[in-house]
Amino acid sequence: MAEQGDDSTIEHASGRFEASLSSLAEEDRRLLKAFVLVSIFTLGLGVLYALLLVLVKGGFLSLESTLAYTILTLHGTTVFYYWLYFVQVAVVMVFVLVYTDGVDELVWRNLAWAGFGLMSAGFLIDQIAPWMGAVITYTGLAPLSDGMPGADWFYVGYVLLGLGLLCVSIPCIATPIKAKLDGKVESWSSITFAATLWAALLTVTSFAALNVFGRTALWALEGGGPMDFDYMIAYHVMFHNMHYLPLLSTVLVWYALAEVTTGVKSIFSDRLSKVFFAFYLVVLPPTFLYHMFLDPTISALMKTVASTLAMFISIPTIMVFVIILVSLEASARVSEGRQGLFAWMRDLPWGNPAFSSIAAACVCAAAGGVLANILIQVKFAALLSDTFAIPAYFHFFTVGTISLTFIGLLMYVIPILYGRQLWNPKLMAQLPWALTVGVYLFGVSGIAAGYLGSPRRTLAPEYDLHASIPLLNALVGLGGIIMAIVLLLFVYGLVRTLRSGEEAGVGEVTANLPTVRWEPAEPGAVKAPTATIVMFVALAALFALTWLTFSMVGDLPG
Amino acid sequence: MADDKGDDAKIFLSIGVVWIVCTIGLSFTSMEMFGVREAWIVGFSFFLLVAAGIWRADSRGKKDSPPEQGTDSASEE
Repeated sequence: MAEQGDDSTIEHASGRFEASLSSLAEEDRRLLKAFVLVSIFTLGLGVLYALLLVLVKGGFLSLESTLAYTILTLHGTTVFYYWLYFVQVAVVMVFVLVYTDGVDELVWRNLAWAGFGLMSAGFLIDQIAPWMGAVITYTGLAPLSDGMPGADWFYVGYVLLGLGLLCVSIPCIATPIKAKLDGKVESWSSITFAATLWAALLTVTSFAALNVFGRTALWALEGGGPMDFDYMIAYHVMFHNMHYLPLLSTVLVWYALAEVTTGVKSIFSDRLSKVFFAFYLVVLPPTFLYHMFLDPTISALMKTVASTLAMFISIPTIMVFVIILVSLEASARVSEGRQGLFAWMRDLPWGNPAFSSIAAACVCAAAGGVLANILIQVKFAALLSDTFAIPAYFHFFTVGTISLTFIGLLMYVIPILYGRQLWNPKLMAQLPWALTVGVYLFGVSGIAAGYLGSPRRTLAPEYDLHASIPLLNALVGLGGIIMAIVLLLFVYGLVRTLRSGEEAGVGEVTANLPTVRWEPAEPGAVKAPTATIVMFVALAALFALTWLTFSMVGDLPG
Repeated sequence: MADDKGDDAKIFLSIGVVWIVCTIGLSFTSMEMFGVREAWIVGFSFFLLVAAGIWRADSRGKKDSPPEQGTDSASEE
């Protein structure tokens, strides 16, 4: 473990990250703090909405149907579009500023502030509109929203969000390009490259969001009626990017935190990492159609082609995971420490809450990834798309993988920005595993309930016809309560840190977060059998469950 | 590494080309998909623009001052 507070910690990746982030221009620190604070607020609020929903789903509380649907709309909107995007912007700005050589400050900072203002205004409007009557879930279904009071404001909120994201994405691209223009860096680090890639995709996605929500806002402001465009397709081409962006930024955080907590970065070339990160954008367009499996206007042939192409969706995540795992194992084996097949893993910094977060996130991503490959089978998707199996499945990603990963990075970013040590790191290191228990309980029970016919987008128990569903719903509720309590504890810990954490000087702030100091191995210097076994088991599970899926749907009509 | 020169622009260019191929491929299907073609055209246009911006910055940056190689470690102060 790293010595706490001595000069040697500065030589460790953790110390370098701290030194670099704490030396940012005060104006950039203020901007980052704004994004971080609002992201924590949106997370806390979204989790409170979720707590109400799981209490109802579990049968522990009763809510009138429209009120429950209002809360559901608020929950989805708050956590998916606002928590995930406020925190991602903060994460990407941190990466651009910290990992780009020669960058002193964010280029066009005022534009980023304008983006922050627009996103915040969108958030406020989208908090009010559902209470006015726009109870249309976070997808903002149109023309279902026709005639709903507040629907026009709901879309206006999303338009402001789209404009805000456009404004913040441009400085994140311009800043690393300016470093090249000034001759301060020739080739970006793979982290800077991936952050720029993310920002470029966000720019493109913002235009798609403005297209769909701008048109729909105008339609709603003009009184609704027949629509002259297909909302669902225009929405899904935007949403496909919107739900893929967090995955890209998540693996980027894994990549960075693995180095910060162990000193090990990829042992392979930067070029290889860049190609794998770029692969996210390569597979993006051809996989879009899996959102449209229930659309009757798309031919069965195209749906089959889409189902096949959708298999590519998990490849970049798997490849980046392999890079990280092999790099860690090889570096552990060339460093002094345990050498058994799995024994080296005991030397990982499990007491570091950020490391625990990304490790637990990988455990949740494994379940989410396997289930995703099943659900993109066209026949199975048709069976389950409107059941509770879908929200049960995607919480493996949205909560267990993505949100947990971002919280892990905040455990470094918040202490450094505020010059205060993280509150109770021992407890914070255990919370990711408690969250994982909650996610698995919620996910597995919910998928079983969905398979038996429990519908999504309603909490009314009269639709749950199978005798086993009430028990499964109670387990869903229990898992959801665990998730909510853990997430609220995370929020409490982060707020406690920034308000009253122990003050520490530069080089001392992250000293209470244990790290290991491994020397990066040379490629080919040592074998990595654990990584090979893990990948073999993961792929075997994937093939076995896919085969099981095919056997279950094989006799269904096309 | 010397052989990494220009990689950043080339990879962005490659992404743009893939999106162009997808856009062309979509036009060969009979699907009526509102906004998809436009979104992808905006996509590949922007990626090509970013690739051009990076290439331009690489070219001008090399002339002006001695370059550094980016690393995955946080910048040392």
